Amino acid sequence: MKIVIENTEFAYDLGCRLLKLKHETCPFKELESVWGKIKPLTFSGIARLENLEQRRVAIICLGIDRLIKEVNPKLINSKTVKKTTTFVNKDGKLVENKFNDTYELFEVEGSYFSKGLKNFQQMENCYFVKCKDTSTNRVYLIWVDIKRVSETNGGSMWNVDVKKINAIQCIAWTIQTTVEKGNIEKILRQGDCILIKPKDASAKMLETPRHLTEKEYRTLLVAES
Amino acid sequence: MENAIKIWKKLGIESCTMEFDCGGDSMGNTSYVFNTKKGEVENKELADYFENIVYDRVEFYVNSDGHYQGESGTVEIELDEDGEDFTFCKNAQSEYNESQTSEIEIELSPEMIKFIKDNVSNINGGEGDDATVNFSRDFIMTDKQEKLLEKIKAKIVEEAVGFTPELENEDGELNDWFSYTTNEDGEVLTIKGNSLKLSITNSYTEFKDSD
Repeated sequence: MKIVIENTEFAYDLGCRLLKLKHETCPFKELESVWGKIKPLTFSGIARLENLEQRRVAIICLGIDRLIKEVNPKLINSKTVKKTTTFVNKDGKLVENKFNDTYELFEVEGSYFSKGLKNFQQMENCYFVKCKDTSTNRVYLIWVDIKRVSETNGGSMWNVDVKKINAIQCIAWTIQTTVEKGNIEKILRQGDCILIKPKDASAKMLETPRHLTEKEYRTLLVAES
Repeated sequence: MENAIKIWKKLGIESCTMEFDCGGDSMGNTSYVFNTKKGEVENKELADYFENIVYDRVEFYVNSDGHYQGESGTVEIELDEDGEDFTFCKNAQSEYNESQTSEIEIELSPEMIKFIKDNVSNINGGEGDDATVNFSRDFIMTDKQEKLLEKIKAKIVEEAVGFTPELENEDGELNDWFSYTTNEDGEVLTIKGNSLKLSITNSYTEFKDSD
């Protein structure tokens, strides 16, 4: 027997634990007798799902608020960037919008993900940035590799001082480009779609993409929606 | 060129037929056959000469895209009336990848139709793939329903694989590739009685004389 949730098939037991996350009351008559005994899946369990599609659906069922509460994250850094963007209003007029965009960097203890693992398998602390989509107001959590963020911004990769890492460096790190440093004229962003205009379009592109630095993100991002 | 003309005349060649095919952004194999009154002869030196100059004298369209695939045919090479230069005449056909969408109805059992009506929003697939089923709601799928779903998928794949469209272009050549869907985004699937409508898009090659 299987359970279909959000167009994805789950083994019966796993599906029951996800339904418990998704619904406050029992959604199917067949489960009424066991509903009270079902233990909802935790984020730790979700993170271990190998099937990416199942993991995506499971995170939807859990929801961001519960995810954050469960992993008990520690706020490391919060940065607010003043931004200006333009959009066309209902009357077809170009309107300028000034807003504050806040990015928060959180740390999650590696021990949360390491329950039941042997010593050599224990995970290091993990980090995510919490931010809002500027046009839809949806909240996003983006997991970042703190060592690489440090390296991208001129720090050490092996001896990372987390206090020196800020949320903007992390969000900049999530963007990759093959345009060399110093050759970016401007960056435009619409959701996940990033447009980068090089100063010299004929210049050689990098063979391996690189991450953006905090400085590039702060100075070259000219429009966002 | 003088040396090539000398060999051409010495061997009594009347014409040369170059066979070629190209596409996928490159030239394929080429071959050169020299025709004399006594029959066909081969000559490596002349073949190498023409292989070097033919690309300056004849335009070959090697760059494929989703629609144009390539061309194949011959280039007839002759010595001009004055006997001082060669003439080149391409005779080739270009291949274009076209598609044609047909609608078929698949007869299913009442039990299958009920399952689809209750739980399915779309079924789609294509050549070499299993049918992909998108569900319209969350539900518990019993072992019996799971087997029924497998039968539905197998039946749809069987019908789609076995379908041969009547091509709008009679000279077209049917390819192996096809895809199918019960409905496009924003549409609902169509069921009439115990029949499920399926749109199948088949790919075929159309041949046209090259420029």
